[in-house]
Amino acid sequence: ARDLPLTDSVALQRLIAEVRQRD
Amino acid sequence: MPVLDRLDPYARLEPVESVTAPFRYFVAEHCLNAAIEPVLLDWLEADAPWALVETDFYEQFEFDLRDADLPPALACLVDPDMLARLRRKMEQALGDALAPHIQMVAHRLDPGQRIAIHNDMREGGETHRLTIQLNRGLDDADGGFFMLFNSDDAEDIHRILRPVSGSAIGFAISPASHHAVSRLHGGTRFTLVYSFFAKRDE
Repeated sequence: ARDLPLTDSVALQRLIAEVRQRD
Repeated sequence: MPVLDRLDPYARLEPVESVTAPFRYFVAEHCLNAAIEPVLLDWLEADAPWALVETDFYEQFEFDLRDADLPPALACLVDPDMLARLRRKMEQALGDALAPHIQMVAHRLDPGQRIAIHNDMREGGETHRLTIQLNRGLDDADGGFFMLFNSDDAEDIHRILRPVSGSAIGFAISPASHHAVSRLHGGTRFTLVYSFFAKRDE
């Protein structure tokens, strides 16, 4: 499926942390 | 390597989904010609002239396809007639008139690399973007997701697209076109990035 489900809050927080700007 | 003369590598690129908010974009699948995709992957893995580029918010390997010594089988990717057809597909999908000039860059993300949230806005820069994914198959544990956001807040997620090989997203660049690529944990994630410029009123 195209979309990753947005249901796993732990996985989501990890992804969010990965794409934050460093500064 | 087979010679695929005058083949339109982009013939299959058609939007399967068009979206207007939080910014205008479309999603497409199976975009590249089925004969081209494996040849291109082989070349990207073995012979392409990758250079590491590091900035404050991303680190990845890339090269400009206009500079590359492409094998004959892949010359159709940069053929002006084929790129003109691709431009017309972008115009139809996003409803904007585009100038003939197109820039074309290949990206390679290796494990550990990511692209932080950004919007692609640049003074006097390109106005529309098309990215086509290429890989040997990445599963969710490998990461490398294309993330779209409702705002400049990384927690404000619009949706997350898996990097399915052959899939694409095309979008109009705007202050709202926030996106990112999550960290790659396994495999190699190749992307063809096409940049377009809105036609100016003369």
